Amino acid sequence: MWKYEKMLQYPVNIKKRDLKMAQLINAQVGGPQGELGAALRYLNQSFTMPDDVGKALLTDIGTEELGHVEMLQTIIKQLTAGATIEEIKAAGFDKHYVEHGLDLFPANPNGIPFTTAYISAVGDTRANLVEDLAAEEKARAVYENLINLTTDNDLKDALLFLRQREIVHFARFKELLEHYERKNML
Amino acid sequence: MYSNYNKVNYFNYMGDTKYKQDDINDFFTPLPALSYGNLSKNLYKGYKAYKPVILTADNPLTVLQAYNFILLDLGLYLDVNPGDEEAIRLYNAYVIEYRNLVERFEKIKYNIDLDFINEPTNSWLWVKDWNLKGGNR
Repeated sequence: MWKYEKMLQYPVNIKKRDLKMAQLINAQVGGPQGELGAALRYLNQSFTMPDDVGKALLTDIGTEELGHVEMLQTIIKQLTAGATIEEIKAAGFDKHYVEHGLDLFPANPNGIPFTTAYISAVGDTRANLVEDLAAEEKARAVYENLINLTTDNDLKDALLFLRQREIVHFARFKELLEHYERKNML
Repeated sequence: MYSNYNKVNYFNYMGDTKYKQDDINDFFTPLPALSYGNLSKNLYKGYKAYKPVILTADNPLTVLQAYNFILLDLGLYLDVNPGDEEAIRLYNAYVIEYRNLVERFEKIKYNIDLDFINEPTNSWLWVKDWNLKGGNR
């Protein structure tokens, strides 16, 4: 069952509007390396993990990824709230604005909408777990790209947090893979 | 072909020198853990020269977020190391501290509703406090 806790995993307090950055951050919401994909991928795989350890870990990490979607969408909202038409046009945010106004929407920075084509479940535990490992590394790299593109300290701190979470998830998935290797369950 | 594949040492192939094993003696406390984004000092890997801000206890909500986080991350560690008794003891100790914090926080300030077990109420507090500064959307 899902329960919602009325607080973000990590505090987010963006003070300066930046529509260009908002558009780029959306990569980690609705893009192929993003958190929404990660959440669905892990939650979907959790049902068919060979034992309870895998079911627990995949469910827990998948749930945390939903919390990351929430963090990123909060960041985007704070980066865009109160934007004027002039700011929207100047930042090239008009393409998002025309279809969504200042609402949020899971798509990548080019407006390509989210799709489950970004995730896999191939009926093989080793393949699924290695996909999870790859996903975490790719997400880490995209967070590094985002960090490279911003000078806002508030934003940088939140992105560094999310980046470190990817590293930790990689370590946990790797431990799960080792666990299944030892038990010959792959 | 398949039997040869099984003989390959899979984890040398993975090249895992970057991510070292956790050491329970080397865990952060809640506020640094939340600031760095992980429980274990061994697993922390900085990016270039960037240093994350070290969060402080000024805002009581931040302390709550820190304890919630350390329980979550310790939970992930315990998922793959379920027999680690020291870690379980640490988890239990944090749960008790967390519950005390939650009680104080909800009574004094905000309604976070971390559990369905709430005192009977005259008004539906779930609709309050959706705009806590630094806390939520």
